[in-house]
Amino acid sequence: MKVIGVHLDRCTGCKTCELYCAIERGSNGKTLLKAVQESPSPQPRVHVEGNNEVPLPLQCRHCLNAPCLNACLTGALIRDPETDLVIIREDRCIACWTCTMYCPYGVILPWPERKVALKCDRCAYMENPVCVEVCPAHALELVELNAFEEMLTRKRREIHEILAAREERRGLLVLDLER
Amino acid sequence: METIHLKTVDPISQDLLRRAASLNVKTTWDRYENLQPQDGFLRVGLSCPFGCLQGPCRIDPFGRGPDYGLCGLDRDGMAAALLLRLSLTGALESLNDISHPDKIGMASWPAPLDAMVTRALKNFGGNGLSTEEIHRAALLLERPQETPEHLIQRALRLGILTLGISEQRENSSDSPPNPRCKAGYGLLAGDEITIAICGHPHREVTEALIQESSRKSSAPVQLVSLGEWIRTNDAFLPFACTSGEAELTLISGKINLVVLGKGVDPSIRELCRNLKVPVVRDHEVRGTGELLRLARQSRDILTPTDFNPDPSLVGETRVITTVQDLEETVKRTAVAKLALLGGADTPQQPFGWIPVEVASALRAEGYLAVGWGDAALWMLKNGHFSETHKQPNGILDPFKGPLLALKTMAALGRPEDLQGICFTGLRACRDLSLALGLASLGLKVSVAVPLPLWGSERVRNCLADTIAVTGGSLTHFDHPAHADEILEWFTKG
Repeated sequence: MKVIGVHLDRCTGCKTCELYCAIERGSNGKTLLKAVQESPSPQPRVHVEGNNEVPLPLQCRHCLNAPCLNACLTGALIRDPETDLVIIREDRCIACWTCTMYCPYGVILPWPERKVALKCDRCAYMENPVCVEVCPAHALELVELNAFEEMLTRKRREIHEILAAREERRGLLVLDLER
Repeated sequence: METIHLKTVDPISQDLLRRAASLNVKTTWDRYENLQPQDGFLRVGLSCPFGCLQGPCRIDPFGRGPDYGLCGLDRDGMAAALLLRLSLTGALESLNDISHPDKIGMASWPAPLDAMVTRALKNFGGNGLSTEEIHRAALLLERPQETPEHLIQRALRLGILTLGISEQRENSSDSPPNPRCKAGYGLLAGDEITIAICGHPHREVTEALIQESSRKSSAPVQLVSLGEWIRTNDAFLPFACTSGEAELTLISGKINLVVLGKGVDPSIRELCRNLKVPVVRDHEVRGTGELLRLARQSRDILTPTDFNPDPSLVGETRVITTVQDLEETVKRTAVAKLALLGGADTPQQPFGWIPVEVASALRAEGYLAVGWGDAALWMLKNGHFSETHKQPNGILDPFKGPLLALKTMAALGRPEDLQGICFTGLRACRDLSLALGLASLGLKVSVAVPLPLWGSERVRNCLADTIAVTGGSLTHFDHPAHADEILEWFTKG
């Protein structure tokens, strides 16, 4: 499964991903200047939290054990057998917002005007998710989940080595629990 | 995001684009595509233009993010202030063109403009108009303090002021009327040493080069402009290309030396460096002999180019610089309606698309289509003023443009037959200010590229309503306009 990886060190918090997600996925006009004239206003499926120092782009993780799937009362949320992504069938959504309460990352959002829950489906029908395409700082990247895990393991190891070296100088020993 | 597929309507330019790709040289369009999407907040006018240095504050166009800036400014205030800032910059840019900006006042407006200006100003806050407007607008942009309606009125007043400044430039001109104008890649067909002028170099430099190039020599030298309107005694410097195609002309390999003046894009310098074309800035010129030596040396060193355009690809005509001349043209053609197309190339649309398509279609509809700026060069390059088309001169002085047409139609007693003025592209804020000013005087104006006003419906409506009071209109689009939309705007709107 491919997921959207975030390079936090590159994100400038410009919210371009939010803007263009709303345009591509939420509007009929599909261009910014047409989308801003639509009512109800198009809404993005990804958003940026945090502040200038630590902006944090958020989008659905498509959790392997996704609580929203169990929470959904009507079966509108399903795991797509082909892509393994958690997707929403909007025609079945009754806008009960149960999924929004269960999502541990707060990335499923209510859209009361259209009475559906909004969540990122990683633009599965497109070659690349629109947020990844438009990010001016290349802070978002589409990566294979396995590659993602490998990258995380590598980063954890690097951090461990840095910490170990620092603590060794102070006479302390840091254990690598993964090893 | 904006995308374009056809970059220019000129087949020679398309060949040069292929050449650029084979040389791995980056052009305007590569940079344009790399920049997509450009700042969405600014594009809809919701990035705060006030200089408080506590921002930049931005308002979410879709209403889920912030609704107000740090100071409490809402989306309408932000979009209106941005319009005022752009108009202010336009007025300041136009001041560069004249020697006595302090003398701008009501007295400098000739009839019938004086009556139109008086009527417009009466509706836009009263009082006369002077360069004091610039100061007042700058103060308004210090901190948010006025309503969007007031800011829009101020922006329109600055538009009228920009027209006034352009008018003063016109009056200060002492060159002979009807200079000749040639344009097209055919100018690069020969084996001459070619020196290109880019931007606006000092007048003395250009004159010395013209004098030098006119001398008979075993190695003849020709001087061309890369899209800039540079007036010589009785002509404009021949145009190898429009301003948008300057990079492509350099890529052709036919340019042996580039003289840079004021207002040159950094990309031109960078491209010359990559292509090893020698560049001299106007203030570095010590003598024309040195320049010619450099140009000859460059021709000897550079690899001979296989770019050999057909020498017949040159359009030639006289530029209309006086009311009498345009009057005569209108009378001679006996057309009822006059349509103006002007403005600069923009990468948002294929270069030349609107001027070429719309001018032809308008002619078929019985209009006299005249142009200024890059749009006029496109019409000239495509043979719109050639003898085979039996078309009269249709290029207006680039610095007088629409005002000249307005005065002519007023002198003929047919101001209503000026059917519209379309800005095909905006190169600088000055063009936007001119468009605002012309619409304020009661004319029908359109801008073919989107303006940063789409974030506020109130500002858009207020601008349209304020302009409508004087009988004018300013049409702008939420996308780069298509040629058929502009044609429809002329014929049906």
